[in-house]
Amino acid sequence: MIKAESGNIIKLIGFLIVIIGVFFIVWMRSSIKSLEYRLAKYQAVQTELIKKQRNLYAIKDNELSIQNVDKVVKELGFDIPDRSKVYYVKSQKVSSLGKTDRSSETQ
Amino acid sequence: MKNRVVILNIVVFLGFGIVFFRLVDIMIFKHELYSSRVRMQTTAKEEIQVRRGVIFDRNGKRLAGNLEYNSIYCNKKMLNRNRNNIKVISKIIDLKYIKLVSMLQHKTNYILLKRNVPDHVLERLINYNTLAFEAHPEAKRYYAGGDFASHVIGFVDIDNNGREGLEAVYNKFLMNTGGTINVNRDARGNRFYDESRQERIGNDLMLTIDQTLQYIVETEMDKTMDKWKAKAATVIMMEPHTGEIMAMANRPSFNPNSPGDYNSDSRRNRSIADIYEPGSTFKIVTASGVLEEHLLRKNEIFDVSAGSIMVGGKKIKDDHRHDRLTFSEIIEKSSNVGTIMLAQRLGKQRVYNYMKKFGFGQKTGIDLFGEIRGLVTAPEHWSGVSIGSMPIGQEVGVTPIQMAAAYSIIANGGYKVIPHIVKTIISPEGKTYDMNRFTLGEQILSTNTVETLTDALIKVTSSEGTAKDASVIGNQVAGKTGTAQIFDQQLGKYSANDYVSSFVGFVPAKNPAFVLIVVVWKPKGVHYGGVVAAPAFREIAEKSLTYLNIPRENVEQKNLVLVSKVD
Repeated sequence: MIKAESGNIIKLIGFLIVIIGVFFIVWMRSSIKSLEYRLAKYQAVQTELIKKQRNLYAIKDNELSIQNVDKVVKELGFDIPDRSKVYYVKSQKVSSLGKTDRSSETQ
Repeated sequence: MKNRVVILNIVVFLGFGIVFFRLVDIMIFKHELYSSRVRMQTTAKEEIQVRRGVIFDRNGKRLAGNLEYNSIYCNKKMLNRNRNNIKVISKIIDLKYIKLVSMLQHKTNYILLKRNVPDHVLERLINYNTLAFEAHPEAKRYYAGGDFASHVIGFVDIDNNGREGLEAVYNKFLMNTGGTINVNRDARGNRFYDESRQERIGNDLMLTIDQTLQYIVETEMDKTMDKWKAKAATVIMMEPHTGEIMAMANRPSFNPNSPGDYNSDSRRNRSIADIYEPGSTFKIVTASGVLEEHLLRKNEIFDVSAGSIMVGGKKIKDDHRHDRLTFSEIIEKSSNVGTIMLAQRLGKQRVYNYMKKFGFGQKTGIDLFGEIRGLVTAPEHWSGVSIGSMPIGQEVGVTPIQMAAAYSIIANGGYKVIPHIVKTIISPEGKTYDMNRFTLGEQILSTNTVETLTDALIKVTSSEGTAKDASVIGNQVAGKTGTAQIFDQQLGKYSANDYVSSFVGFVPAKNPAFVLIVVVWKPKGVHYGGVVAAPAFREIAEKSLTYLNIPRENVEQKNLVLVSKVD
């Protein structure tokens, strides 16, 4: 009698496991699908952002083109220096004793 | 009761049996048919987007990139084709009304209306009619600098295939292969995530061109063109030891963003595709030959006091009469008579051999399409005058790039170099591949010849020389002017008014940072290379030396060194 009852319980548990298993698989598959939807949306956003980034690069290149930079620089009063007025600075390292370290001369 | 149970069992059994057999039929016997139907419903073919690689200058400044644009398609079934509606649409997409009407008369329902449409236009169109229009992304090549370095970079066609310049030469590297992929979607057409949907990008190019040097060159070229109302001009700056082209520009120019708006004359890269008679700049060939063959006596003097020389029945004159000149003075004063005397000593065959050694009459091998060989005839086809004409740069045709490469040989100590423009190719994964890796070429001239010739060329830019306007503050310039009449094909003789003025040289003369050639076609008014091209050389050279941080040679003597003591 007890054996028969425990056998039924095992059958019931087995049945429930199968049912839960089936529902779990269905739930998992639908979760994966909804994840794929979300990822696809992000992918579309990513593509859109890359597009915008490239177009912004182009605008930046245009704004920072050497012609524009030169125009602004000249408006600010800068230019390539006149070679006849350029001085060269040579840095000499002086040790703590006041001696000049000639090996460290740079120009 | 029992009968009912039996019947019910049979009905249930048969029912399940039918379902079972149907499932077997669907899943096993008609498996392929239904799988293909599912595939059709849930997958779609999509074109893989391909993007050209970017072109950078030597410092990583972008010279050519991509704009993300769209192709617009129209579904005719969804479009109300009344007159007003079509007029509005034609206005939005900037397409002529008549053209749009004729396009909409096409038999197919799905029509490509316009390519390379920017996002803001597309937005307006879709807001106007959401259902009738669809956009496919595509890239449009974009050159931020407009006509900046346009002859070097070149341009692409509407399908983004390179047509001229580096865009054409390196097309297979810049482009990647496209194709189609299958993407998963649901019944409503919503797409699922797919890793393989990534676009394919071509390799990037890093050039030897320096944007700033190119800008200096182009700005000074424009000034020269304006000043002399010239027909055309070319400037090339080249690193003589490696053959790297640091700047290359031509005038007239074109904007590669709209190449169709310009004629072929503006689009032609004259640096490699136009020949001219080089005039006196060609005298280095004879001078080198004489030095290499040891045909000069020490301190030898040439009597050119006659001011002219008869060659093959033709009198060839000096521009200015000279008295007695040394070898060095022949170069310095650019004496035609002296150069012809040297050439006669060298002989026809050896003059020709040295032309070939310098690379005249053959392509330099620069990585650009359209380079021509120039015009150098073999001695057996020379006329009696040729031994007088060719050494002074007549009866020969050279390209500016050949001349720059020839002077590089003197500048780098006598070695042949191959000019090139692409430094490295960078793969989309970031790997770099060195292109045109420098290898020391054949030694054409000995060190002694190079030194003697350099000293003579330095004198050209001295206060006594023909190109004092090419001298640069603080650094010695070695170079040569060239002035040549243009041969008029219609008249069948040299034009009395049209000249090509040029100057080619290198600086600092003893340790050159670059070789620079300036060629000006048909300047108005004055035509001497020393007056027209030499000042442009000086302006470009001075600014470029400053930019390249190349110090003046005479800073110590001029007390231009300040000492800063640091701990």
